[in-house]
Amino acid sequence: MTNDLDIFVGNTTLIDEEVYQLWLDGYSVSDAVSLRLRSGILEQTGATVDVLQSDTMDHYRTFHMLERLLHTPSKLIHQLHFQIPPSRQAMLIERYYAFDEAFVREVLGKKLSKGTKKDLDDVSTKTSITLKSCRRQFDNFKRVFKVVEEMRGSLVENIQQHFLLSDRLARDYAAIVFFANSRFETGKKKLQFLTFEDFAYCAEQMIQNWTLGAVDSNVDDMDVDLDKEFLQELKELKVLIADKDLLDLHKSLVCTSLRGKISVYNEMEANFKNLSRALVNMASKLIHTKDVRDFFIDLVEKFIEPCKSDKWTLNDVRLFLTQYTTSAHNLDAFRHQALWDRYMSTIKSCLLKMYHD
Amino acid sequence: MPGKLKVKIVAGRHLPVMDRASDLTDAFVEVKFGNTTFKTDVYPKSLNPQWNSEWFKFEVDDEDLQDEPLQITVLDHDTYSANDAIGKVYIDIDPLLYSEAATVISGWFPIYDTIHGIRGEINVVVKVDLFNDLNRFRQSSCGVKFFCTTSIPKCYRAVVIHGFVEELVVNEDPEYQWIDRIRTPRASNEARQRLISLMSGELQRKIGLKVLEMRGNAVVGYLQCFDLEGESGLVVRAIGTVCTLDKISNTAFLPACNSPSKEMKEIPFNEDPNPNTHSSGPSTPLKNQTYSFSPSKSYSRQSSSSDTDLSLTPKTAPSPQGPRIFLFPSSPTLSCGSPQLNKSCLLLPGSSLNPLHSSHVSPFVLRKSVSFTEELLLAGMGSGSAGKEGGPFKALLRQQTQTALEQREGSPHRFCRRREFPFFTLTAFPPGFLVHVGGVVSARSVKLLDRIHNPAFVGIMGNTRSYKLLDWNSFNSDEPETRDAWWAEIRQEIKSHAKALGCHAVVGYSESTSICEEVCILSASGTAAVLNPRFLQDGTMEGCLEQRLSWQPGFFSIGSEKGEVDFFPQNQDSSSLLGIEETSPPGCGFFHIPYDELNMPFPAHLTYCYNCRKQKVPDVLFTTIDLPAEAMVIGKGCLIQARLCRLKKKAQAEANATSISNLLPFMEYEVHTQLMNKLKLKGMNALFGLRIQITVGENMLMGLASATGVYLTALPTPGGIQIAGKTPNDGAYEQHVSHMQKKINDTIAKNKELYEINPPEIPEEIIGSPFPEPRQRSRLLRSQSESSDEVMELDLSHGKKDAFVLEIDDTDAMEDVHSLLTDVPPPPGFYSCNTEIMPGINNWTSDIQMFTSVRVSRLSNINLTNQTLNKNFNDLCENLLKSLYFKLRSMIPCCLCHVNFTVALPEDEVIQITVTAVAITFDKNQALQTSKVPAEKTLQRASTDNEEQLQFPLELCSDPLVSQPFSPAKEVLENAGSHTGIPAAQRATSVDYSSFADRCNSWIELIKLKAQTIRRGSIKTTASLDKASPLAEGHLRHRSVPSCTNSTVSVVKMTPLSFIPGAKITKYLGIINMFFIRETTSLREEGGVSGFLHAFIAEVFAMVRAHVAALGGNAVVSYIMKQCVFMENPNKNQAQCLINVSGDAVIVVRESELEMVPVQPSAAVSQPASAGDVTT
Repeated sequence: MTNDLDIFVGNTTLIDEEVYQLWLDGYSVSDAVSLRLRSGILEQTGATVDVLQSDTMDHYRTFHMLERLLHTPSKLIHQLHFQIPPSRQAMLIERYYAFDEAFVREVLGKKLSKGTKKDLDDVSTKTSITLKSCRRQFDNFKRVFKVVEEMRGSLVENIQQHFLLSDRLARDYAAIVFFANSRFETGKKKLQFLTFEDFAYCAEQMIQNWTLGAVDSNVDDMDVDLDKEFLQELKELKVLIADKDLLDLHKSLVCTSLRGKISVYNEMEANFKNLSRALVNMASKLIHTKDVRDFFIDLVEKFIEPCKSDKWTLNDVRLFLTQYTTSAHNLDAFRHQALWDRYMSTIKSCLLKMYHD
Repeated sequence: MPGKLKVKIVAGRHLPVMDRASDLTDAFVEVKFGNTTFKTDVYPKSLNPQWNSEWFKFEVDDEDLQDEPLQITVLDHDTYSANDAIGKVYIDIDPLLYSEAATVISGWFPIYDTIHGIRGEINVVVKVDLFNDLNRFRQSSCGVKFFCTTSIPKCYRAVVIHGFVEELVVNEDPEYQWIDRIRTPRASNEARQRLISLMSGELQRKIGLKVLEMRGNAVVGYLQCFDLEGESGLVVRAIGTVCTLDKISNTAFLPACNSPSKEMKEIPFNEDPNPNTHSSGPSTPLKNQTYSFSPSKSYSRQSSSSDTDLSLTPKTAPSPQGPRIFLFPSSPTLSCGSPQLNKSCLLLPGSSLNPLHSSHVSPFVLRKSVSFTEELLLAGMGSGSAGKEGGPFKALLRQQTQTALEQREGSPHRFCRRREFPFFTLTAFPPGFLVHVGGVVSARSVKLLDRIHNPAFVGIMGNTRSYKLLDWNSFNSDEPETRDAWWAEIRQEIKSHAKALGCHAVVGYSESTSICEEVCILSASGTAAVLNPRFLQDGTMEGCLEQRLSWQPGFFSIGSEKGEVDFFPQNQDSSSLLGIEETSPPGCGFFHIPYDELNMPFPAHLTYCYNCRKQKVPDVLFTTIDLPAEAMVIGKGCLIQARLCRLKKKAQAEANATSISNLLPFMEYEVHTQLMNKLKLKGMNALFGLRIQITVGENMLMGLASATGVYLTALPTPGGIQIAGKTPNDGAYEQHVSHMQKKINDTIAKNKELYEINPPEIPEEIIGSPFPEPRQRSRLLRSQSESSDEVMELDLSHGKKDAFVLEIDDTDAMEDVHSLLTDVPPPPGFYSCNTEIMPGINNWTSDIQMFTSVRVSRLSNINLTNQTLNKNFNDLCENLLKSLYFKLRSMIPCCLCHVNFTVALPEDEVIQITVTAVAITFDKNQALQTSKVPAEKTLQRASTDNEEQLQFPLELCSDPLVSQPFSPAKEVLENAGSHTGIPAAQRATSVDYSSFADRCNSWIELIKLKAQTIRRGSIKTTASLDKASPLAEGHLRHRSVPSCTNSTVSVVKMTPLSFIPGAKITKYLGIINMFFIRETTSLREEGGVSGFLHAFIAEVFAMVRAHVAALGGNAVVSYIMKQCVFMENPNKNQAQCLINVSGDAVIVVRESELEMVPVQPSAAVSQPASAGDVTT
């Protein structure tokens, strides 16, 4: 005796969060059943494997039907097909759009194209996340990207409005979209120590300070693209390293104020010119797309690694960067104070965030 | 020309992409009613079109308004090729036709396509301007209210309960028309959907006409079904109970309470400020006429043969016998091989099945004489049938300018027929209505279906009139006649069964069919009962003009206009019954036997009522009704099912019908035995809500009986089950038997604990005190009754009284015992029942989940035996239940209420089970709290009770129109008498707990609310202002929807119960009766059969919700899925499913919100205690 058909439909759609997670994680029904078995649910409820199997199937069917709606969460809210309490709707959406850290680190900054999608099986093997789940996450990234890429207004708000995500998740998506748009390189070995959170923070800083939206809140793509004019102007900062007098003066100002406060004073003094050159050179080159892509590599190679080899502490870095930024204001010959601040405040935030093991 | 229908198409959303090139759609809408069609403009290139159309106006007859659905079709405009249909919405505008229901239908409707399912939504506004039609001979019946609810709807009061109404309409099934070969599946499905919609509209209208004729204004317990008879056509039939209802004008009058039973109790006490106006009742003035009746004439006794003639379909050979009633397998002499057999039986209360009594074959239920004297009245009346007037007749009616009386006389058969059946489809009644309950009566009959030969209907479906022509066409009229006669036959049988039980009425009545190929089993069942005429006359009928017609005492309202003497067969008896009633306490009266003890229709153990010790009660009681609210019960109830399969040879036509009718009695017997055994095993003594379904398939018959077992305090404690082996000398065998016996005893003990059945031990002597040795007496009686013989004297009860003996004489019997023990009790925290409420639980929370579950199972083994089949079926049901418990585990502690199983056998070796039920969470803690406190509250409560009781007579005398047969003073005395009749303690324990719990509940809710008020004080104050004006109901409704901040979709709750726990129904918006077909040619792509049906059922729910929301409602009560026909053809990758659902759309307001209303004087009167709580 076999059950050809076995369904359960509630007036209020029944959603089991545990099964939902298994579904999101891309497990097949049989895998999900065996995973549930291991959780000891049968002992708790006195059910049989058949019951569990049928229950899992039911949920999977429901989720399958809901998936279409989850692609446009506003539809899920307004549809009449499934009666789901608002709190549950929010949960469904939030979980559907949630992503795995391991996965996002693999894809962050890559072009969200078909080519990348084809490589997902490699990602899957590497991260031991099921291919199904990888695809879902990738498609989510791509879907959000497509919708907000050409949109006016704040990136985070747009994402929130169209995908009804929580503030936190919307910010993460903003970072993903921002990285994908500028194609920042994040996958190099040297960058492996950085977490998605580090990048997301940097992205947020860059969006706040370096995009068009930072100056004018009423333009297309305001949060997605970097402010070209600003990048162009950054060339002006070169004076800080090109003018030898200015460089020396800057160094002496920084050294004076840091003496006794910083634990690596000698190393700092010895390395000042190199570090300053690195930071200013990066600024002047950001107008080139390729250098934008290498932004994080440059930060790591040219600043973080030297400091680390000299055993700077995080506090040393903070003191140095603060002093380095403010001292420039005391250089009478240096006129690009506003530009300098716009550049350095972000760099400083990013570096401090990234300066860890 | 009395109606103007106005429709406005506002907008669409989430439309499907119809143009692949642009990924967009150029949508427009066609609005069709009758033969008139309007179109909107094309809204180009959008998936969310904003049409904002003008008002499309249709000027139509109210007849059409009732029959026709409004049909809205959304299409994609295509310049070069034909426009593609996106989907349709059918809107039943009936709710707009009663003055009290909805005034406008406005909202988003899912656009439905029979092939693709829901494809986007459309926003529509519909209004109706109805002009008054004073023409008495109109064919429409606007204004008659319909309720699926099988009790008096919550915000109404029954002025008169008139009785039974039935009707059926027959047509050819479009699926079987020649044209179906050339049209698309979509066109065919739509034709079918539309036809059924039209037919049910027409049916409802015709029923309405009958209601008006009976001077009612509403049909309660309306049950409409359709029979897909395949080649021979499509039958839509309906039954219901005609009532005159009065709206309780101020709904806030009713104190909020949690249990529906409570509410019902309250209703009669509420003072109607205007008792004489029937708000929307029949406008025809009730005349003070005295009709001259000649019962002898209308009851002209017919020979049985004439009846048979009537029931014959053209094809079948005349059967030599009438609807002879024979009772049990034993009577082969009574049966004969004709396919036209009427097999029937009585499921009797207290018929103790003792296999040792006489032999197996001997009828355990035998009646000496069933009244054959009354044959069908109709037989003599020719072929005319009620409501099915032929065209000429209708014309005649229209021409006639006669009074209502004359009209009646003009159609005598119509008149008589209606009177014929004292049936009530209700399952719950106002308190005092039921005097005695006799037991379950049921009748079945096997019929052969025949093709309709009808040249008039070579149907073009586009023509709306075609089917009406058909229906009124004289040469077709014999078709519904046949069906009518079939049912009349069955009903007649039910009626005579009831009579045999000494009952004059049947309550909880229902009818059903099972069709396989050309064989059809018609079944009807109900509970024989004695109703209280005095209650009807004096209690609820006060203010009714009919009352002044000064009928005799003992007159009964069903027979109101006919004075059917027969109704009360022995006037003496009825008055003596009344006498009994007055002295018998309210908690047990209805369980006293209505039949004559010395002339019992069947053998039964009778004992004196354990409650009042004055009257006799049976040892076991089976009924189809809900547990009366005032019945005294110990512990909780539980779902009890009997499941049975019988193999049958494949056969054709008559041979098939014969073999089925031969099997039926055996099945009934076994089902009954199983029920009885399981009931004993649960340690209970009564079944409520019994529903036995017999399903016929190609090669098997299935029987499924569901009921809710309870322990009634009035009935004796059931004895255990005793197992007797056949070879007493075999040691090993003996051991086995004793082992089994132990297991059974353990199970009984466990069940008693589980369901909290702990009746107080009453010494035998006390029970017997009024008359010595009652047991002997009853035994004496039994030996008098014809069936029982000397074997009776063998007392096998091993010490324990009334032990129930199971003899294990072969492997079959062993299997049976095993199967008894395989039923697993629900996991802890779960209870289940198939009635409205679970006895013993009264602190429901508002957390409900209605669901439908479907399973289709294929039997794998080819060589099936009855045993394996039974086991498979049993497992299927048990597993399904287990699965439900597992799925709903998050709701624990909860109760599955109104569990409704339906079995179908769509193909050979395929069983389909459909379950619909509602899971309701209850609060454990509050239950504990309640059980602790009541002792101290008892006194206070008792006094409250007195006040409440007093209010009743006071009300009576305040009504100047009522000529009181009894003085109020007497009434008071009676009440007082009935009070003192039972020990106060007992009363407190069983009756008042619930109400106290209610109060506790509401009190706690009030505290919660107060907290809320502080938080959002200003909002609440305005809310309570709103409440005061009836106009503000709209606001209320929106408020009552849980605040879903970012959602525009309002929540619609659905439940098969007649109430929503924790909420109060403030308005009934009309009946929902919907029929859908879904078909697919890409079954695999849609996720196989499960995916297909899952999506479809979800869609059906969605469409029901959308319609309710558009009516302004937020809940559906008495929801039922009447049909779920699923067919698949996996080889062709195809499947088709038909679903028919119905229910009552209502507005509910959460009780917490109601209570925010400043304390009302009336509430303070009827519930002083709660008022006190509020103020403190």
